[in-house]
Amino acid sequence: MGEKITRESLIAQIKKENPKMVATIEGEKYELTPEEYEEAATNWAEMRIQQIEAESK
Amino acid sequence: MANPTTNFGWVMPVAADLVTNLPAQFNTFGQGVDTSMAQLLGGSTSAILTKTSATNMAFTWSGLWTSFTLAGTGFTIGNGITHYCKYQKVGTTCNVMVDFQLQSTSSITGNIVLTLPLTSTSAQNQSNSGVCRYTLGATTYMGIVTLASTTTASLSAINASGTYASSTATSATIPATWANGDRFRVAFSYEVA
Repeated sequence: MGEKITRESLIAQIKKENPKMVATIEGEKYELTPEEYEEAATNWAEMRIQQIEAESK
Repeated sequence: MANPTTNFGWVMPVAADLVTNLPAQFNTFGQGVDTSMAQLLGGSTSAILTKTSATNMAFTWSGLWTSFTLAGTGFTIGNGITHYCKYQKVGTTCNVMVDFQLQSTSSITGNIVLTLPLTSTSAQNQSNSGVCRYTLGATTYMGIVTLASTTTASLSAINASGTYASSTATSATIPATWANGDRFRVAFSYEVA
């Protein structure tokens, strides 16, 4: 049985997999600022939590 | 000399004017024409001439598709790909097209609400103003764009479970579970305030 998935573990996972995040806007590369990076990691974890909860119902 | 043209009032010489005064009079006439036409200068290929006010000869070039920054609530761009995010203002009509693709750190956490590039009139609130196309995996879902306020547009999915199709707010799991590579495309129009 694996470890329980939490928001914190998901945030840690996505940060580990993505030391930096680069968006592409109409072909131009744009590296996210530290604030944008944190927001993206947090919201991605929030999305996954919502999806996991929905799947378990 | 006092011989204005009928519509613009550009002053032309009269028959009694001395020939020696003609250069100066042509200068006055030419400068009058030049000033009147100043706002017709510039513009790009396919641009449309638009009145900026009721004042005579008050024009600007418009109608070209212009990029704007994709922003809003319920979604986070992360390392996603904004394939297209442009608007076109033609008169008082604003046309918008957005094409966004989620990547590994992008997310949908609630109802997707886009920030409008230009403020809309309040009379249009809650009006359906366009369509969405959600591509999640191999499935494409249809949706509706509704003007949620004078500055935002809300994206909903079509719920087909009842006798009559109804709209449902998008979310992390609507129209299906969003993931890396999924995409939403939006096209809608509204009246600019």
